Amino acid sequence: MKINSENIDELMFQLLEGDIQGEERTHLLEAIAANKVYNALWQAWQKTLLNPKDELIVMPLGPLLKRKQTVLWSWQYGIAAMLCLTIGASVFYFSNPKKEGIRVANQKPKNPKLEIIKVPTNEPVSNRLKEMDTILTLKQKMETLAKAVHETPANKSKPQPFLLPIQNIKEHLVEATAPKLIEQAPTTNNDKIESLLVKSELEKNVLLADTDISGILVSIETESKPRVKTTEIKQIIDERKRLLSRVFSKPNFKILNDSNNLLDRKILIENKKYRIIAGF
Amino acid sequence: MTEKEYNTTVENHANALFRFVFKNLKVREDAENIVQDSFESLWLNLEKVEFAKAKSWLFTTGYRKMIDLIRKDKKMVEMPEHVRENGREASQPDIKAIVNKAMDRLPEIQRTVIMLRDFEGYDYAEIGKIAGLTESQVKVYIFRGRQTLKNYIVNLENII
Repeated sequence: MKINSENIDELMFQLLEGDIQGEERTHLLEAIAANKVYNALWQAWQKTLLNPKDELIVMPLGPLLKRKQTVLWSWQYGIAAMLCLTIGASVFYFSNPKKEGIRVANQKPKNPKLEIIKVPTNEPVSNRLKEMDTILTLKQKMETLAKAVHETPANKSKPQPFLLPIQNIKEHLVEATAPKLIEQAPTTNNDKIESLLVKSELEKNVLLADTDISGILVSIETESKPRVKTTEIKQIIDERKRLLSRVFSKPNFKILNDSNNLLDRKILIENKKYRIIAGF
Repeated sequence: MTEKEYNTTVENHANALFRFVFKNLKVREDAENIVQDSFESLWLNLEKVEFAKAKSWLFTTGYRKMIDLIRKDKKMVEMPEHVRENGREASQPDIKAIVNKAMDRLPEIQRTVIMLRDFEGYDYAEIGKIAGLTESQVKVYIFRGRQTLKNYIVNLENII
């Protein structure tokens, strides 16, 4: 290898880069060492090598690192969640043989509409008396009057003041507050209600069939109004309240159209499911 | 490349990339931004980049971003005072400061290939891939760069 001033830089560069190896490298190093100028040049060439340890420049790596993120949602997780819910619901359904809880939940809506059932208002007793009055024709009235005039004192029947028995008023009240809607009430009270209804119907029929019309006739002619003791009416109302309270489990109980005449009152009974307006 | 390999790449090569960019740009914020952009690109191309080639891929990306920034802002190598002297007085230069000063005077491409060669230990082929050069071009640029450095050092030593 020939070393001269023209190729010394190229040779030193190759030597520095490691392109010259073996005997050539040894020979070249010896030649450089033997020449002061070459030696100075070689020192300069060696200084062009950058040492990475001299340039320790660092930057914060935290922002560059990627943390493992928890994937909150993906279609795989969605399917898995659906499967878990389905299996859980199935296990719950089939593990409950009576399925009572499920059935009740299905039957009861969250916000049930109040079912308003209006019971036909009973006519006042005075009107009923008027109706009964129309049962007799004028001819019958006259005949009855004549018969009464010609009766002997022994046979004379005493004119009976018309007084509608309290029991009959009870029947009217029962009729007013005993609609079929009660059939939807809880089963525990159905028997009581049905028995009351049957009883009232039977007694009502008896009243219509066996009433002595002649006795009523006298009272009609005198046009005496039936007077019902207010204490008895209150007693009946209280009795109805107690009955309805048992049937409807603490209903809201109000008296509407409150007036001085107790016979024209209406009773409003309502609970979560029913509203009953009864008049008498 | 997996997420774990990505983090390993960050730990192994982030500072090297930062040094490479910072030595060229001389502005720390710009260098950090380029490093972050490079790793963000790596993260986005995680499935495409092999772990073994991650370093080369990072330096290629970082170099291109650096060149874009240099061409855009025409930022050239006015080294800040604290970097230039590395805490030493300019009147008491040592060989490291001289070399740094000489490096700043090199053309960007020569400085780049020398740093890739010396700091990162890349061969000519790898440097060529990163810088978009052929091996012979890389060799020539390295030679010219070192020769410039050598001449600067020799002249300065003669003055001293």
